[in-house]
Amino acid sequence: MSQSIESDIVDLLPRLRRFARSLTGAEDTADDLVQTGVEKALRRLDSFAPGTRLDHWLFRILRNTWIDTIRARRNTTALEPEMTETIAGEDGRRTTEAHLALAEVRRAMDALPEDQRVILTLVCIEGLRYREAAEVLGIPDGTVMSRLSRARLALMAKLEGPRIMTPREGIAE
Amino acid sequence: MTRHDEVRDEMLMALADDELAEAEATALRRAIAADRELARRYDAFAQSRALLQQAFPPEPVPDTLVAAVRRAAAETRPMSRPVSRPAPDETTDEAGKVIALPRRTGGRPIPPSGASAWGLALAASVVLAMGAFWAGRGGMPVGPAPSAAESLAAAALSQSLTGEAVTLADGSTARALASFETEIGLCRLIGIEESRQIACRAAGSNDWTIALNIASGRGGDFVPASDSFAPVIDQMLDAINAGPTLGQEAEAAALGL
Repeated sequence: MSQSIESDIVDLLPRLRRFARSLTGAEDTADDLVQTGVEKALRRLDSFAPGTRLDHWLFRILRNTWIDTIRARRNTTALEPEMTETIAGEDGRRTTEAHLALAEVRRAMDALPEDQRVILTLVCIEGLRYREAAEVLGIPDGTVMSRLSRARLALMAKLEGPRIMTPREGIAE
Repeated sequence: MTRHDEVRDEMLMALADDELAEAEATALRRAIAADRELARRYDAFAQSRALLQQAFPPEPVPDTLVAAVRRAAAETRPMSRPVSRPAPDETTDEAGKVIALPRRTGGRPIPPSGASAWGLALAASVVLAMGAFWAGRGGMPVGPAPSAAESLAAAALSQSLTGEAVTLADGSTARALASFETEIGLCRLIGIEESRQIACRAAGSNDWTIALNIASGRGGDFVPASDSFAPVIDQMLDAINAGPTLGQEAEAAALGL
């Protein structure tokens, strides 16, 4: 075990957690998944091809771990509504408009099915190219595009409202 | 592409994600500029990406998770497994030998991003070298012997605390980087320009012996100066049961200052 891979992995933890969260839909299982996945990765370091993306490799392992073990163990399907973020009155802090809008995005995301959350996370948040996402998920490029397009439209439909949607018509031209 | 319903959502999305070839992208942008409804559909894709990025910034990782990962990493590290070692008295006789890294042969060129994997390979070779070191007889990979100046660096630094530097006979600068109590005596990590060595001195002895020498820049066969030193040094320190880095006071006492 190389000290530098170890610290590379530690540096990636915030992103691994975020990706795990898109799989699990719940924070507590997400950390469980990250830990189990990283342990698996550490035991298989010899299968990591030097010069390739460590982050993508770990995403793939996390997803496989989720499918193989954690998901089966927990048998959780959808996030319960009460588990989603409460927007109102967080700690009496003044909640700005922007805050509210982003909380709404998170809620809308949580309400999407797992495969849509995952593809949105990989492409829109992590910035993977379609081809890279296809490799991580082990699906054809075309499936990435159709799934991603459906997910984006579903997300925007949930957000539909004056605060988020600013159709071109609303912008002075 | 004059009517928006002829344009598939996936095309608009690919444009928003910069996944279209330039010619296609230019044509589609032109169509969007001329068609308000198409523009609205395009915006939904562009916005969803921006919104998601803002809504999901990376968050701080709980210490418990970091600790769990570090623990798992430590358990996977080969040298953390118990190794049978001869008694310290027997090993000090052998400490005069230089452990060098075997030359890497026939490997692919390592791209810059492969530094970690390179470090791994090095660490593995040090494990082998250490095995030979502890076995105390032959079979040890032969590597770059330290230069005359390098072999005297530890002695030259014997009055210097961590952070201090001296100029060696050949004009190079040697710097004390850390000191450790280990099972083979006081050991010091020393940087000589881009090279690193660990030199150790048995209790009651005045002679420094080089336990690990990582050369760079000379000969071209050895490790380039980089972070890939770290795992190798780490392996060595593990193998000789090095304690934590000595603080200034403890270091001064250990050096007899």
